[in-house]
Amino acid sequence: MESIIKLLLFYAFAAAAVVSAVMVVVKKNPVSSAMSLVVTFFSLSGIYVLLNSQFIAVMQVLVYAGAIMVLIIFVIMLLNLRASALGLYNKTASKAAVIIIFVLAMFVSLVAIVVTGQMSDVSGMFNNAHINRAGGVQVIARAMFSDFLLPFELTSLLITVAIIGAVVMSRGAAKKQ
Amino acid sequence: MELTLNHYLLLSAVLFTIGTAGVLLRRNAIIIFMSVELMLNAVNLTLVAFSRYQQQITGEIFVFFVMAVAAAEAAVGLVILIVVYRHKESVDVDEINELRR
Repeated sequence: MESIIKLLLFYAFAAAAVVSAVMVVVKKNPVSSAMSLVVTFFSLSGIYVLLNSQFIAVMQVLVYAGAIMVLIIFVIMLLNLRASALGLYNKTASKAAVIIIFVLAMFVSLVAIVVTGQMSDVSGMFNNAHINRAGGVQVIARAMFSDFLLPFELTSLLITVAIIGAVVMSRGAAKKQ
Repeated sequence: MELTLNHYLLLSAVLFTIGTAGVLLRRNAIIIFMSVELMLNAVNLTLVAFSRYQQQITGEIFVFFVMAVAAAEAAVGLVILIVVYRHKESVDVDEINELRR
């Protein structure tokens, strides 16, 4: 019974994610595309909950839907972008047949890898019982602050550099004027 | 039918393909950027699915770092886009594809 519910939930979230992803690419208005991308992020967050990684699900909503999409929508509003009158597709899209064939070939090869691939026998100790006993956040924190401490600190450095770079770049142009 | 790893991997493949099509076909630089974010999310889904089906935690930690890098990239990329817009009055990639004015 529970597996049927999980399967139905997966199909619901997957359908929502795929439909809104297609709308991101197809819609004329940039704000519509941004809203569709938010729907995609929420659907993916639901799928992460199905995968028993609640921490990643919450981070997905906070970081992607809450920070990155807000930034993108601010930029769209700031630049006052409208649906372009010149059309959706770039000049290379005159060779759209080649691009679509390439994309379909890529998809077919990905599906072939997934369907015929054999998963290796790697197995760890973090099964559902272990994660639910200790708590998802605790398990991630324990690994992050012991094995992955250096990437963690470097990530904070990276974000600081990004902030400084963004401020410097946006002010540099204003100074010239 | 049981929910297996292949379900998640196929969904990730579909999302990645849609993101690639968006990057290659669209004209508006912000839509291209959003398609790149879609591709990053597809990869995140693959990482978390493998992490869960192989009973490891390393995949989820990697996803944490991918999200942090995506946030930093979003900030810097959008500022570059704003500066280009100030210079060229357009975010159309057909108009900003040359370095000379």
